Amino acid sequence: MILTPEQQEIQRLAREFAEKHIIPVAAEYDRTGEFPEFIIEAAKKADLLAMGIPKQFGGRALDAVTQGVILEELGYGCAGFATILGVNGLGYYAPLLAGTEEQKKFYFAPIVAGGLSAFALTEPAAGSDVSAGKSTAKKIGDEYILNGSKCFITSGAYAKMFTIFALTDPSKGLKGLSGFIVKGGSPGLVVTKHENKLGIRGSNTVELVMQDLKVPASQLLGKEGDGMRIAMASLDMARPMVGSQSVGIAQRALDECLKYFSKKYPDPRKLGQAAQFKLADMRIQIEAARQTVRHALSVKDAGLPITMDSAIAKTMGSDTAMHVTTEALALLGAYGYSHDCVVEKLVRDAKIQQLYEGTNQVQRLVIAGQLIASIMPKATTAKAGR
Amino acid sequence: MPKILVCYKWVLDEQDIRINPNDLSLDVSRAKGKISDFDRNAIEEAVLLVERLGGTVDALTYGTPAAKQSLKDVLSRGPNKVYWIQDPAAEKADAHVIATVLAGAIRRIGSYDLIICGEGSSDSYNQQMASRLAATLDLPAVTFTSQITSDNGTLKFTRKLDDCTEVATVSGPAVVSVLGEINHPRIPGLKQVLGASKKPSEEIKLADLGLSPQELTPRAIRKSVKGFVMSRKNVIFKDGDAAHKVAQLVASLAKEGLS
Amino acid sequence: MSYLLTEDQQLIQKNARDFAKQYLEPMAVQLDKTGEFPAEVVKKLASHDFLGWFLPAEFGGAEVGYVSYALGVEELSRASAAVASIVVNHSSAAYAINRWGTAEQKKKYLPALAKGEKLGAVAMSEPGPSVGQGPEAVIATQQDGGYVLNGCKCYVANAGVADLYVVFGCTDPAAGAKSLTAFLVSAKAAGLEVGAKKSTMGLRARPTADVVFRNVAAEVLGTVNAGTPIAAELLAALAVAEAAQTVGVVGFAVEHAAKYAQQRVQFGRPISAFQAIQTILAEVSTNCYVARLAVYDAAALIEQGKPFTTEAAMVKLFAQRLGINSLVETLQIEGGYGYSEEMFMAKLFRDVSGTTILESPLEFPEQVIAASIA
Repeated sequence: MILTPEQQEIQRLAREFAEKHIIPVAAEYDRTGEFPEFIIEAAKKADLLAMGIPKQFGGRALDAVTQGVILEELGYGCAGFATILGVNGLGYYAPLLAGTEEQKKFYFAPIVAGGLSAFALTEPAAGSDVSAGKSTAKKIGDEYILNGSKCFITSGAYAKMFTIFALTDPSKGLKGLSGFIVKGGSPGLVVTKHENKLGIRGSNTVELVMQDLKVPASQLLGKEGDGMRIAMASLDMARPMVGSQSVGIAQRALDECLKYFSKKYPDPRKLGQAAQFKLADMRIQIEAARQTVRHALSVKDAGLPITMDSAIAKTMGSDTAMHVTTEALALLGAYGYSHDCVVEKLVRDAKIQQLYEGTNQVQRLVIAGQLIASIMPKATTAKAGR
Repeated sequence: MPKILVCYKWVLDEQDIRINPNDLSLDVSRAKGKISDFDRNAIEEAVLLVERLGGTVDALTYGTPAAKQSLKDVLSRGPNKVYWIQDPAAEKADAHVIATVLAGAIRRIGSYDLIICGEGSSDSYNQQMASRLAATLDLPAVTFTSQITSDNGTLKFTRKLDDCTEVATVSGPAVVSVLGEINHPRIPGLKQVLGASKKPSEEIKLADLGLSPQELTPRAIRKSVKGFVMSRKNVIFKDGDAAHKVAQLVASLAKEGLS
Repeated sequence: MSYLLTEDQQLIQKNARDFAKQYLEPMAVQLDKTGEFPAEVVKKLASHDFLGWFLPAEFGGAEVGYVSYALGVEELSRASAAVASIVVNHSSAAYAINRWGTAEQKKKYLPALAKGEKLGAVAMSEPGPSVGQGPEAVIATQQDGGYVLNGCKCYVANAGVADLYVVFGCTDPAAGAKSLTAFLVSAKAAGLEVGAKKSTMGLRARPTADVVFRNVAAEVLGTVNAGTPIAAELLAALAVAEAAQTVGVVGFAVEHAAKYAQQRVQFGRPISAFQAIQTILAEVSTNCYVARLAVYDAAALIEQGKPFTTEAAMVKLFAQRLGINSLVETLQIEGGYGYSEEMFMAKLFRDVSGTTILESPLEFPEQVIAASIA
């Protein structure tokens, strides 16, 4: 897939943004784990906070492929920063997919004005198994009272807007899950813990507790019981973005190897064949992942179902990032293992890509599920379509 | 300069033992052997005493042929010599038989100023060995020992009992059992492991002890050993409001016997 | 594997495990946080003869074989790969002196190394394309009947805490590797400067730093210009010890992940009940099992004085793949919790890659293996 001239220009600007704002400071934020609050304003100025929000709400309404290209460049700079800006999308996809016009206005305005959004689905007992969630939303009058706890929530301590999932009818299991849009700072929405993470340390990851959190009924997305569908549709949109970010991480790892070898070898042709082939393999894998991710995003832009392609893109992208970064670490020896080099950070940042937004095991369940469904015996004798 | 004998037992390491979830039977197929935990304290205490006061430490064990694995292990921890009696029937021996065999061996080997063993073994934990040995050998027994000090040549034994501590001295030889808290057994260094090969070990034949078949027949018979698994009741209180659920929980706990 | 081991080896293995549990486990996390050199633990290691493993008894060593040494390294690494790495790099220097030193050098240096009164380090890597090349290569020139070294060695393990360095330098830059020579250098020698301690991904309590040589007095170890075969054998022996470290870390990581899988309930069952998790555990433990056997086979060759460089290279190659790939999987099992620095897995993830660093990443070990086959 070839990018249009406009997309290439946006790519160049995104690369510039990363080089100017992210790369010079990423290592320090990784070291301290401090949240780079400055990036919110910088991203707003560069129009990176509302990339997928429709124009009538003040957003940039970029197509998915272009958003992916941007995230790849941000991931190239630092996956922690890219996660902050990428997960922003995951938060606002839900109202984008299922919200009324008022709800969209309500949710998008603070984002466009310069704020982050967060997506709260995971709970301590409900990781891969969403059905094990315990948070409840009890309707009283014209509001819902939310109680429960969520964990591993990106930007939870800084988000202006949240998409939160809770059971309006616990007896129905997943069919009783509902989605709500909630303003950050609402009384009863409390951050209880900041995670100290192996990687993407600039990104804020927290535990949230909802203690009698009052949410107006007008902030229920869709109908009661639509929550699982909305959550999965949001994740379907977000997963290729994780893939994009991962491709950026991998590309950075390869470029760091080349940078190192250009310094170490006055004549780079002296680099042994074994090492050259390793670099070639890295390049092959990165390109394959890049095109797979962009394909999934173009399917999205075409308005077609993306569940399968989205899972493939996320898995391929993140597995590639993990493999390429670990190869790079091995190639760069003691230098790569030290903080003189960014590659060890890339390895740590790559690892989470295989875990969040649905572990790669869950992605494989999705993919296998679709494959198995395609070979299930048909109930009627109608000819099987493709 | 006391002449000390430590009696120890070679047991299965419980952390290697698996419990079959179906019938709670024990799977010991992968279990390695080890010196019974408190016997390790006994060996360490004997060695510490001799380091302070001079003297010698011998070790003695009665066990299945697998006990051969214990000899180097024991010697690497400081004793000068180890005696052992091997007997496949040792696995089924009760405390009476074990004490009879050990006492028979001790009579053969010689006299000691102090015979030390652990308060109980890691497997059966009968806590009888010190008392039985003392009775059989007609010696005083000092049990539950948490500290041994020397005061002008006299050994003082601190005994830790349920509601008090007691300090005892004995005149003449005695049998002593020690608690786990008495010391922290040192981990042998490499040289001590290699040095163990140079120290003597002597096998005493059971037949040479002149014990009758009746004396060697256990009268306490172990019928079965099952694993203990803590099973959760998994009771969930979900009906009603918080006050009601708490009341239900309290009632349930009272029924279980907690008050 | 115990059926392959002698009684002594099994006892040594057990004692090393007990030592690791008692002294290393309680401080492993703290050591990683602070990166502080564990001087007290090093003293404890010394008192258990863990700094003079295979050195001859006449010099105060324990004179146990390389298999026992590898067993000990594996056990220590389960609890703290950083501490084990201090031991391994120190022992590598001791190996060099024991193997190639003159009677006087052995008598002079080994006793203090064996007792841990002095620590050792081996300095090999340079900033240039390979040892002996580039403007910062360590060059040895004759002076006053001896040699002086000029140049820079980078990422030297144990730099700053070592009292004695085994340093490889070229006596003739034009001849390159053919003039490589092994030298012994005292840390106190005039002109030797240890750079700032490097911050590393893991193994943080084991110091790493650059060492700069400015006319530093050095004595030849082995023969002049015979450094290449010395380096080859030394790196091979080091590779086996480091692979034992990798196996220790991976073995522990698998156990940690398996325990987690038995406790973590999703979809109404412990996740250990799912084939996806079972597959991961099976693959990682299989690879670890195979790697372990290879490590001890190579260690046995070293112990028996047989040629071992090919096998050591194979072990290194396998361990390199085993290390981080296994931790990628074991951390995956522990999910979001595994990614938290409050759980142990993240630290193991960061440590494991440090156990398989290639000295000259682009030359060894594939070339070594191929050279012996074709």
